[in-house]
This record gives sequence, C-alpha cells and structure tokens, in this order.
Amino acid sequence: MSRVPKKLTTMPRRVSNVRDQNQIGWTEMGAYLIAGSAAAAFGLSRRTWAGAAIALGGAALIARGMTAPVEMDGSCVVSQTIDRSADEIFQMVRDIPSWPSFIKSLHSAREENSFAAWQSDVDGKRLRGRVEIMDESPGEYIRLRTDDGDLPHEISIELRKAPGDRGIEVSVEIHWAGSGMALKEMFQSAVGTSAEQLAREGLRCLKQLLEAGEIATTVGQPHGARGLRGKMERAMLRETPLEDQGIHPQTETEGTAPEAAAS
Amino acid sequence: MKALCWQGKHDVRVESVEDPKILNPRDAIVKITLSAICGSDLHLYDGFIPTLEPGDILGHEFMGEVVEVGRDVKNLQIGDRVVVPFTIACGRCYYCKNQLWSLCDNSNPNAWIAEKLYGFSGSGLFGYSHMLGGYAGGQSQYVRVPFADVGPLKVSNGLNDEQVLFLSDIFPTGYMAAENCNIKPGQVIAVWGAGPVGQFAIRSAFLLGAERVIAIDRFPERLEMAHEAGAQTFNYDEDEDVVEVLKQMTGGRGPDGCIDCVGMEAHGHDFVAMYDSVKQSLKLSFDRPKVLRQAVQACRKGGSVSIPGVYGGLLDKIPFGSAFGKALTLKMGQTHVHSYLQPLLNLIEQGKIDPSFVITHRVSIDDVPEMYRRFRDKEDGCIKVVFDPWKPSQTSGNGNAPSLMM
Repeated sequence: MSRVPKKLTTMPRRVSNVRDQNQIGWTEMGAYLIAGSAAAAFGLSRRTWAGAAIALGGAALIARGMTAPVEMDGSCVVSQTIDRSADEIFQMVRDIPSWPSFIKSLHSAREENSFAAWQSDVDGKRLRGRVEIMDESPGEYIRLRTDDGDLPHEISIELRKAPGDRGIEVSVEIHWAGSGMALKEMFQSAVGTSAEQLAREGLRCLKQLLEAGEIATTVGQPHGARGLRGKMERAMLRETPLEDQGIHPQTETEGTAPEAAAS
Repeated sequence: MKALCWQGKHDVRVESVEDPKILNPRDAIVKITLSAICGSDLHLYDGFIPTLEPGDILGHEFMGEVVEVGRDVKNLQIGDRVVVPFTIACGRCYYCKNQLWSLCDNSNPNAWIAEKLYGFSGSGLFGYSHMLGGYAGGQSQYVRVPFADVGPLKVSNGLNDEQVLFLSDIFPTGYMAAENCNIKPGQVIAVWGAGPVGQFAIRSAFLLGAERVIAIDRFPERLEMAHEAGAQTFNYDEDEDVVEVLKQMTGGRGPDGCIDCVGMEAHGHDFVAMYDSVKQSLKLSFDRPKVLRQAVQACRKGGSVSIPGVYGGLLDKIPFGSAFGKALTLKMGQTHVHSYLQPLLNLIEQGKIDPSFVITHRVSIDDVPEMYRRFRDKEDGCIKVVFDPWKPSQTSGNGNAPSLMM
C-alpha cells in the first residue's frame, strides 16, 4: 500500500444522497445543453417568427439544463505538511471556535452542547450551519459532519508523522452528497469557493498560522488606480476582499444564534 | 506617497497613493532611501509576466530606514538602516530552515495561482505579479516589509547606499549563479548577458576561482564593463554562431560552466529567434529561450549550466538530448538572497568588491517611467538605474529628457 493513499482508509460511511424529485443526471444535463444550443442556433439562423420560437425553446432547454438540480456526489483530498507537533495541530483543528482565524470565509463559529454553529460568507451571501464531531482520536484523526442545509459534508482530518523530521502530514478528505445547480457548481469552481478550494486554502492558512505565526496577506496595502480592468483582474484572481463584495464582518454578539440548518 | 505603478504594457506612471501600513505582526514599514530598476522589471514592462494588475506598485531592489515595526519584530528598531531582500521568507518553514529562502512555503498569499501553473509555489516577491504574492514593491517612497524580523539586513553607516543597495537582488543573484557552476580553480566560465546580473556573475566567478570568464553580449558599453572586470568579451552581433566561437575560445572543449543571465527575452537574428518572437507575440509562449539553447549546446561534457535569467512558462526546442548526452548539471531558480546577505556584505566591507561600479544613471522617481524605456532600449549606455524617491525631479522643461546624474 502506498504511503499516501489516494483515498484515506479511515473515512466513515459516505453521506447518503437523498434524491431530489426534480434531480437530473449529468448526462441528462449535457443532453439538455446540446439540444438547447442546437435548437437556439437553428432558430436564430431562420430569422423568422417560427425560428424565434424554436430559439426560445432552445433557450428554455439550456436554462433547464443549467438550473435543474443535478447529483452532487463528490469527494476530494487535500494535504499539507505542517512543521508542528501532532498535538498542537490537533488542538487547533479540534477547537472549532478558532476556525475563523484560518478559514477566511468563516465569519464565526462557537460550540453549543454537542455541536458547533458557524456562519460563513460565501459567494456574497451569509450562510449558517453547524458542525458535529462524529469521532476523534487526539493527535491522530478527527471526523466531522457539517451541514449548511444545502449540501451536507463529511470531513475526515488525519495526522501522520512526516519522514525526515519535517513535521506532520495533515490530510483532509471531504465527501458530499446531495443535489445542486450545475451553474452554481461552475461558478463556485471559478471563484474559488468550491469545497475543495476552500479546504485547500483553509489548510494552507492553518499551516501559515502555525508555522509563521500569521497569515500572509496584501489586503490593505497601497496601490495605484486600478480602473475597470484592474478590478476585473482582481476578481478573477480572487483578490477582492469580503468588504469589497459588500459583506462586512459582524461581531459575534451582533448576529442571532446560528440555526441548525439540518433541523 | 509617490509610487511607480504599472498600468499596462509599456505604461508605468508615478502616482500618488496611500502610505503603507502594518498589516501583520511581523511587518515593518521602511522609508526608502534608494531604489533601482532591475532587468527583470523589464519583463513586467514588456507585458511578458502574467497576473500583473493595473495599479500594482513595482520594484524589488530597495533599501531604506525603518520607520515602524509590528509587535513581533524584535530585532529592528526605528531608525535602523536596512537592505531588504527581494524574496519574502517566513524563516520558519522547512525551506527557510534549509536555506532555500526563495521557496518559502508561507509568504505567498496567492500560492494557488502559482500551483496551477507550476505545481507548487515559491516565496512571495516584492512587486512581481500576483502569482508571486501581489506585494506592493519598492519603487516608491515607503514600503511594507512582511516578515521583517527575518529578511532585512542592517548595515552600518560606514558604507553608502550605492555600495550596499544591490545586496537586495543583483549581487546575490550573480553570485549564486556563479556558485551554481561549482567553479574550481582553472575553470572557464561563459556568461550570456553582460547586464547588471551578468556583471556580478562575472566578478563572482573570478571571486570563486575561475581562471577565465567569457562575456557574451552585443552592446559595447556592457562588454567594456565586463572587460574592465577581466573578462574576455564576445559580441554576438559580429558572429552569431556562439557555440562554435566558444569552442574555438576554449580549445574545442567548451566552457566548464555556462551562465544564462538573459532569460525569457533573448535576442537574435536567425530563423529560430524569429520563430521565438512570433510565438511570444502571439501569446503562444512566454519565453524566447535562445540563450538557454546555446548554453546547453556550448557547455563542455559534464559541465554546469546555471540559469539566473527569468523564465515564465513552457520552453520550446530546448536541446534536452544534448544536456542528457553530455551529463550536464542544470541549476536555476530565484535567488536565496537571505543566505548571501551577510557573506556578501563582508566582501564589500573587506573592499573585495564595490557594487556601485554597475550604476550608470541616477535619476529622480519622476524620471523613472522614461528610464524604463531607455533601459529597455539600451539608450545612453544605460546599464543600471538607481533613484532616491525623495529627490526632486531634474527633468528639463520639455519633460522628455531626464537630466541624468551619471
């Protein structure tokens, strides 16, 4: 067995996918898009009222393909080697209220009885949800289930000693299952807010915080006139800070208690 | 404050921007007393480095006086005179602990971009694209220096700014380039590009024991400066078969070490050079790697090719079979500046080298946009431009001709 398995072996059961009645498959979605595009192109080429009607029908098929819920079963694994002890890393990961210090999109998190409630700013909107610890072994692994009411995620974080006294290899494996819009999935991948990208950046920031004592940033530094092109490029490179997106972090006391979205 | 901002290809402007402030506990703010234009800044000016954004402040060769420190910076005091390395390093990750400072794991806030292109990210750099951090650079009056408890080198008042400024980049870069050739006494080293880094590579090769150094360029003033350092010179405009000429100059062996100080914007007049230019202008390639091809071809069997010149992407038609067949050692990368600061400062203090020899132009910050053009076009014998960002402009009335304090 390879030292770094493609899929971690200690992952708990997969999140079960409760099928949405309107849910379509990815093949079906592709068929909608191809048929819709063909109909739209054909209709527009006719330059008649009948052609316009066909084009409209094609547009409706495209819209159906892009907005119908599709199966969102998926998983990812991201890893970093952190030059700190397993206990120190575990302590930081286990302390859910400290997560906003290294997960940029997380606005707040606090423990409540058997779970922790969190608020997150993703894609310009405030999400609320909760995270439960399903299983843990100090210094070795922790398994979590998080739910924002849309797509439940199961997360397994494993710690292994790195060779050559380089610290600890931290692997985060995430599984999710449910349904969602293909358009939303594409948008999240483009702007860096897919589960994998958030996990990758969160783990990187955890490493920076633990090793360097701070998270590298350029937010707030001086610059010349950006112009429209500069602003567009900043958005493409995911450098627009939350404040520029119209989200202003609130203090913990300002918000109401996060609701358990899965309830 | 005044700062030089990139606004597009061949468009840099001096703008009035906000002063920098402390953003992290290990930051410091430095009031810049001397800054420079680097040859690699021309890659930005010419639009060949991706992920630059309009409004970015350029500049990665600078020094100055500490005016503010973050709460975790204990080794610097307000008023300290410092030279700042162009690579930004945390000092605590695996790479920093192993002296591979330019590969720091923790200093690039945009590491994901570099990972998409290169697989992994190196350290953040000042003023050198968002892929490499997006940090505001030092062609300005003030600069924020991250991880200031690790990078900046304090310098005594016994040396003037011009003598120590180049510890920030080109002197360590030239030195590391020579060191990467694993020079032994009696060896012959060929250096392509007699610009500022090439000049320091030539002098460093001699300091490290090379018996002969051959400088290759096409500008007489650069070859003259190399000649003054003791190098043999070769103008490739007179004979473009560089590989054959180098064989003739080395008794048929080829140089023991070849240093490519040119990088992605190599010139040439043959078909392959034109092919490179067309590909680059069509954005099908970042690089024109003519010099690298020559260096690999020319190097003797079992020799070393050292690459301090900057390359950005996928290189076309590199004779890798030649490199394999001759068992060459190829070494490259951004300079681990932090490792060289103190040893090279010692050489300066001992009088073994005075880096200010390379300066040809002293201007004010208002003249810098025009000097970018002149530096690129190699006008007025321009080899190295430095400027005090607080010095008033000496520009004459028509606004087109900076009064150069050579």
